[in-house]
Amino acid sequence: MIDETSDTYESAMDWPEATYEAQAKPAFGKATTGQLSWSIEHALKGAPGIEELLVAGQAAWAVECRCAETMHLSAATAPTAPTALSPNPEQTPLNGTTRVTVDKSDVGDGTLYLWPGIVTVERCKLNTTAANWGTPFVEIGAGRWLVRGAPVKVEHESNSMLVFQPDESIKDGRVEIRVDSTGQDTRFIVHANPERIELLHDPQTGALLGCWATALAMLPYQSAYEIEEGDDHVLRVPNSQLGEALIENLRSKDPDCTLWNSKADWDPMAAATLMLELPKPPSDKEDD
Amino acid sequence: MANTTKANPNALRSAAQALVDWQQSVSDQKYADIVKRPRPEQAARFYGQAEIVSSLLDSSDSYLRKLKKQAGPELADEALDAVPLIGQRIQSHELANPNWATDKCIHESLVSQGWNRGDASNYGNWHVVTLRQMRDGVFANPPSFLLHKGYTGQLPVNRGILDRDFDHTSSGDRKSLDAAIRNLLRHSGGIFHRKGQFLINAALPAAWWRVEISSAAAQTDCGLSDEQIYGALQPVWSNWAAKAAYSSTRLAAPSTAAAFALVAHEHRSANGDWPKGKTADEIIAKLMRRTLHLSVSHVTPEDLAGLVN
Repeated sequence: MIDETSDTYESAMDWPEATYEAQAKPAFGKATTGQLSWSIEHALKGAPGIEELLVAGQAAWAVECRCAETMHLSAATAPTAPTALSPNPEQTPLNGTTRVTVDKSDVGDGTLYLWPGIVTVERCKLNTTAANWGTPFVEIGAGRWLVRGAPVKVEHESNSMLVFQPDESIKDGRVEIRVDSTGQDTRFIVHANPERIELLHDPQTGALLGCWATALAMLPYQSAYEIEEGDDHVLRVPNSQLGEALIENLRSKDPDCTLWNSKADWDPMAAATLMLELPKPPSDKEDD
Repeated sequence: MANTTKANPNALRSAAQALVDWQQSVSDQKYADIVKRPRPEQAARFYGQAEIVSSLLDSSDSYLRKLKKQAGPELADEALDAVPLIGQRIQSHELANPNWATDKCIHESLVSQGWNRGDASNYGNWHVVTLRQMRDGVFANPPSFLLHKGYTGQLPVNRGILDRDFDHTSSGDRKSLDAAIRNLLRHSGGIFHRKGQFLINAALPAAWWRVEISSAAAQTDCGLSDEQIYGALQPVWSNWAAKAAYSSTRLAAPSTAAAFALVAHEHRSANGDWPKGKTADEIIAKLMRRTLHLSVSHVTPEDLAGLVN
């Protein structure tokens, strides 16, 4: 859960032709140990009033980071403002980048959402001529969201359904998968010697597939992952956000994919291959 | 001191999981579900519950031994050593009546040993923390107060039934025993089926989070100290925490928590008491509603407080 009002939130602007898009990418290699870091690229098109504020430094590309489990909320803004308006605001987007860094300790194994958008950073006048509000300017205070994109759910190792845990107590090459329901959601923890853990991550070896298939095979036996069918015939996992996301993931790739509500039909290996989107092995035969 | 929770994460995780599994074996989601089970199963559960309550009334040591027997060897000393120890003894009345000095001590002790929000958001971890405090004498021994509703008052179960044959107990006796077990689970870190309620029901996590939120809010330019912010949050903690944890993370942002404290202090100056009950609920609701389109991190606590008035 992010916010009680966010479920119905739709990204929309008053400028008829305006669009806003944001993409989040992990910023590998730049965060220090103990931190999670992302780079968010924003693109705004067709909202000249907002562009003016961005260029004037009165508004900024921004990202709010929220983790409900740890009650963490922080915000980052782009360090520099755009230097000039887009030459053709209707056609050419104005771009910006915000980098966000969150301490792992502030997230734990919770779910982190990034909310991108554009926010006012001081009291200013928003030019609404092109927005047909019937008034040329609107005065607004600092902290007002001018644009909000859809929230991005961040995947980080510790909030995945399958977590890899190096375990010094395992001296040989054994791999153990244990259920962990001590946190907000039920996960599967892969325990193996630290040297073995590295190999398990490699999708080419099939070991990663094996781990996923084993974990998925345990789903029908976990009460937290029990699937319920609503009056609207939509399948839900009321006690697990991870379960909900898994159904969405599987069904987006194969609408007919069987689910774990039927033990007889549930095929964990097929589901694991679907999830990991393994490429077809290269053919031995040369193309004609 | 080293970051204890990172020192032995596997032992801690295994112990927390063993406790969660044990919880499910000792009590159902609802008491009504227990009475629907086959009679031998009800009887087995009754004896298991009675053993736990008897051991807790005996001593911390006895309880830990019994728990280890029921929950498994994962509750080893090394798992308990993986969580921090509070630096002073805590009396049951301090848990029943939270105060700044005790809560601050709990927070400082745990933070100084590496406890962070990630650790503190896992209710299984809190169960292990509670056991460690029992083992190392932080709580009164025996820690029978954990069986009581709200830490004080009377034992909800008649001691006489603890040694009785299941067939010679009334349904009321069995329900009261289950109530005692539920109190124990609530106070130790939360009930499995009510994840997250540990912020409200369990004294140690509630104390930690009250100070954590107050300290973060005091870092803003609100002009209030962590103790002053704590003073405003403490009387309304259960309402505030329920909203912040389950409805609006925005409410828990440092600037918004500070804004709530500013409004509460203003109310106290005008009315002689902290806002409570419906008044506090209205302030919280206004803060949630009127910050909906704001990036609260970019607004001063003073301006956010102004939205309430």
